[in-house]
Amino acid sequence: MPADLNMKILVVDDHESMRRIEKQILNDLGYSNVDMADDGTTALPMLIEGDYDFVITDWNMPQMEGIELLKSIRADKRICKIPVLLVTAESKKERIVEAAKAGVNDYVVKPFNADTLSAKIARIFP
Amino acid sequence: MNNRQDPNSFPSLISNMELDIFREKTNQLMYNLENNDLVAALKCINEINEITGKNFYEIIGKLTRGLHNAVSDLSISSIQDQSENDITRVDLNYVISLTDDAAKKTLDMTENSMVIIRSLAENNSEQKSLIENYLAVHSPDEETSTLLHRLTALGQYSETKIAQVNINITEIVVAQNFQDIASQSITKAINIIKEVENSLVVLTQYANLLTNLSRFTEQAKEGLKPEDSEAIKSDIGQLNCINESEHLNQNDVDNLLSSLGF
Repeated sequence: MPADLNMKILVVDDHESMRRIEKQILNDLGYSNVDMADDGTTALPMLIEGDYDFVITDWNMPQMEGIELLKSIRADKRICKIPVLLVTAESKKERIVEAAKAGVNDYVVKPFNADTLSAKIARIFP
Repeated sequence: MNNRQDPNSFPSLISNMELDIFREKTNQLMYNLENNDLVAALKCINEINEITGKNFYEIIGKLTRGLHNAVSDLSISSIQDQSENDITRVDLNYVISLTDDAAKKTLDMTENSMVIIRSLAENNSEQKSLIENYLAVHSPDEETSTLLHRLTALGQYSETKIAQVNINITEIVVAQNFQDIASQSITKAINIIKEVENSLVVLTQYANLLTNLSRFTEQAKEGLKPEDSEAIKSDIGQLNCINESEHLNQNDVDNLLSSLGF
């Protein structure tokens, strides 16, 4: 199903500037329904209660890292189907494999541009 | 300033006098072995170890201390600890703070600019509609028609330029990406430096311990706890692991994901 421009997106990143960058890029791509969380522990209850369609998360975050958030999402029947895109500076092979095993939908390496993000969204929502 | 050790001041592993003692002890060792005097032979082995080991561990200790001083020269404390004239010190946390503030300021400005751009685009669109609606209803004279066509052309020019500014602002936003990467890399460097510094302290203690071991074998045996050894192994292992992992670019990541069935 192609990406719906009205879909509800949650951006999770501990760096305020990165959250704002990703939100601005998403807005520029036409996605206006974007919320933000600063780490996994904040994001998880939002996901459970918020009826989100898509999660974009960083890997390295305090409290709960992106990979733990991903595992928690996949382990919870209420939200396990939500597509998750990891957007992170972590490009080590073993980490990508770990993310793939945990059920990530795709992986974007920072720094990225709007075209890369757009292509990944199109791939996740074909 | 640091107190780096001059490499030329390190002692050689074995001096001439120690070499003579080494030869003498080796001969004694052979003699003891030939006479099946194992206790005396082991004593000789310990004495030989003492000759070779003592200076070796002293060198390790000096190298380690020199390296530790060098690492300590990289200040990773707060800016308040830093003298204005001390330009050799590097305050990495302050760099992170400055670049982060700069990124937030840039994002504030771009977000405000985007609001203005959207407003200009809406006004331009409304002006275009007004002209189109007017022309649909009225049959203007030549002068008015020329004026409206000129306004339409200006509107199209503005539309093109507004779109270009929008692209430029998006590029500015995307460029702030690097601030986050830089901040994470610097944080990682700070952590590695701290780990190295801690490991060097352990290594210095270990070198001292081994120096004592070569001098007072039995006494040192009691002092060397198994957990010390494990801690040293762990620290050395962590140091070895720092550069082990291979970093991939987006294409490599996509290829790897593809090979994993994505």
